[in-house]
Amino acid sequence: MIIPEYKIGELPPCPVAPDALQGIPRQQTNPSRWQGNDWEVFVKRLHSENIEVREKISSVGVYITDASGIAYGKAHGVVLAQSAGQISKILKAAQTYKVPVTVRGGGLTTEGESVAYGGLLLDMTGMSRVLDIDTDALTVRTQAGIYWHSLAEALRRKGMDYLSAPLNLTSSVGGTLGVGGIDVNSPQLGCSADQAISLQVVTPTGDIIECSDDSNAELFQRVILGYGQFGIIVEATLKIRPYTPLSMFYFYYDSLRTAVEDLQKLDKARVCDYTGILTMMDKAITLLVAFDTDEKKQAFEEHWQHALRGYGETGFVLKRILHYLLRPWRIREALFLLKRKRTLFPDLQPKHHMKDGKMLDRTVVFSRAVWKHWGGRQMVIPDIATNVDKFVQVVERGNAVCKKYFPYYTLYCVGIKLREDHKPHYELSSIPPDAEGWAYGCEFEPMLENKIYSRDYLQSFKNEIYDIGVDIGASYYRFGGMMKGYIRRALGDAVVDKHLALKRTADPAMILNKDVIF
Amino acid sequence: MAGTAPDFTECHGCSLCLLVCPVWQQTRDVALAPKGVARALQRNAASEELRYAANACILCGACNTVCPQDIDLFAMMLDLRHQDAGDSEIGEQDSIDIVSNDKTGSLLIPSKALQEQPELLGITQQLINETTPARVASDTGNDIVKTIESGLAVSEERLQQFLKPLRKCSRIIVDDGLLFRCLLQWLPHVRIISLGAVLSDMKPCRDLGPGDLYVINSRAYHADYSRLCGHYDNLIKATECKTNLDLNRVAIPTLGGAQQEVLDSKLQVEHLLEGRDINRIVVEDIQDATEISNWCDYPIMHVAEFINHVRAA
Repeated sequence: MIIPEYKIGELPPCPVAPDALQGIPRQQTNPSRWQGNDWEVFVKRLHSENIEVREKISSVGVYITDASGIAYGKAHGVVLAQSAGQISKILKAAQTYKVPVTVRGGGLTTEGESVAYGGLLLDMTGMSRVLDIDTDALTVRTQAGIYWHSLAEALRRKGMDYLSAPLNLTSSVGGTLGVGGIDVNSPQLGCSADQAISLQVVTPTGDIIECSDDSNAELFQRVILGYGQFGIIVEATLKIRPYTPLSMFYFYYDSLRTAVEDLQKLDKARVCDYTGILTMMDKAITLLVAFDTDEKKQAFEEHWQHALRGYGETGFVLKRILHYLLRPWRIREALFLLKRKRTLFPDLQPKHHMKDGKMLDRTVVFSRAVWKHWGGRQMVIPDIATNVDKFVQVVERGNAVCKKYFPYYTLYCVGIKLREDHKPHYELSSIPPDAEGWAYGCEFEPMLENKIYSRDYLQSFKNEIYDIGVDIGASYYRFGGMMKGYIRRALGDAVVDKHLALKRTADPAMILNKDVIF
Repeated sequence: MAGTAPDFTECHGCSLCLLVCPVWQQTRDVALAPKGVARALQRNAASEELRYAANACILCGACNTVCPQDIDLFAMMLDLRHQDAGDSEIGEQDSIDIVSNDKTGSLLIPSKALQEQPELLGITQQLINETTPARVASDTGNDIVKTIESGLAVSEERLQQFLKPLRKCSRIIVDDGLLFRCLLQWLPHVRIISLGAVLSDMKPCRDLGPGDLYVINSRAYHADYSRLCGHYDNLIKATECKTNLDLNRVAIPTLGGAQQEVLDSKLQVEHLLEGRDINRIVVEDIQDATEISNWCDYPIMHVAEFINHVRAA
């Protein structure tokens, strides 16, 4: 194999296996490792500022991969975040010595975004305390390295809850605000990032700035949904609400199109507090609806339930039995569905999280179920976000790709209510540029069932999903080293170059979260 | 290898153990939590490098209850502690005479702390005897617990001396949470119950109310989580009392009885009590009462005392 020579700054043609989309060469997936120039003098500078840098493998090894289990990178050293002042010193030194700084919260990225390919890894979970809960103003001020779950624990002591957070509770507030954060109440409440009222940010050059829609608005716009490119969020003020248990119902479909159409109808009519679709392949498609209040539930039952084209559990099971009786060669698939139902359903409604028919701490229940039933050594979750009209097409095409690569997989579809006043935030983000009112996202997650797949196979699968986004005009929830090459193709050179220019101004040494987007 | 229990190699870093780890809760340092230790071991970190983490662990067992991979994280931490202590060291036995438990039937094994309060122990035994009479163990195994917690090895001779008569018991009620966990493993065919579960099942405990904080013995609870989760859920639903369970239904411990020097006891109790609108505290482990009373003024009583108090009223 001949490795061609290339100039610094130019990506070479990939000499490895062909890309999923013929004719377009595959971009390098793992970023190359920073070689450590001036690392020693950088560490010396941090030590002089009383900042501990951990370099032993016992520390560095904790962060060697992210939730993907595919992207691997070793930092030269790790710092546990302690304060905005400390982070300011780190970034100033990093600018001087051109040391890449990778910021990590929960580490639940899946494209290597929170993996350090050399340089410094900054673990933000060191700054993870709640600072103030205001039950009158319905706000919370928190350090941004906090896990959503820990935030929920603190809020619950005061009878409060956050508005919208990722399904997975071991993601961090700061990381989520940089990416989006969607859950089954996002169709009504928007993404987590849109719940932020104000932030304290340390810019790549080490300035500590408080920003909001009214103050330092441009920085606020860049940092929210900004993939950590324009600053490190150290504190956030978020909206909160009184905690309510909820009533949840499931409707079952055998057509993705029908389920998506019904989902979008419900979202548009705003008749449910929570909606989403979760599937086992395209064989068991579940539309989930839930309510914070009995009044809303009753209104739904009176006016909307009959209009849904899904089945109740019994009816659907009978349909499926007939389906597999007529297709005995699909017995393995049937047994898989049966096994999943038996193991998953009890975990979705555990007795100790139910009271009077309502679910307590839904997020805990779902998060633990996600890790137990979908977690694994490798996690591959490519996604596409579109406007309302394109969504069903994306889901159907993505489903076909999933079928091609894996026997078992899940689709997770959720709407995201958009804020008209936040359009500037949405530029170069997971929110597709042509979305109005709502955006819709679908995650395509193979259930790997402890089988280990090669990186090439998994990357080819992801490439084929991302290609749909390029083809149809969409965006992605996950931007990262592994799929960086898609960003220009999906969003266009104009917006990428605009943000690259902003990035170069904000981060002259280009050290903050390298290779996530730029 | 087929049939082998999952170990640290199965950790894929979900961080669920961090959410329930009291050490992480206070220090916010992942290197000290089970996830950090497991990931470090995956990268061949030497046990000396993990010494601080191993000794910081308070062995509450909360991590085991949430791990989606079913890794015995508790055993992992204890094993590290053991490696650090060295295999060849044998734990010192208490100097008290060990009188063997040589009868069958129902047995109550009090913790050292409960033994040191004879009046409370008497009340406790009296309550237990109302349903199924149980004698108090003369050999309480406290030296074994202390040795295990230190990471030292218990001599096989001493262990068998302790266990042999217990194998003949029909029911063993255990106060100390660590001993409870160990006995569940060592005597799988004997009926072993935590003292807290027995007492909290008694009818007067239904008099607990929203103004009460009922502090479950965290070590015992986590040792038998799948069974006790439902038990305490019933208690909460019946009485609406508050408990030291978090949103994961994992018991927040005090540091009572734990051999550790890293965590701040005051901070731990403050974390336990923060935001609680209560006027009384009822505990299952008398060491929790001691710990909590150092840092707050709420009236605190052991659950056995509470039961008597309800009956007297």
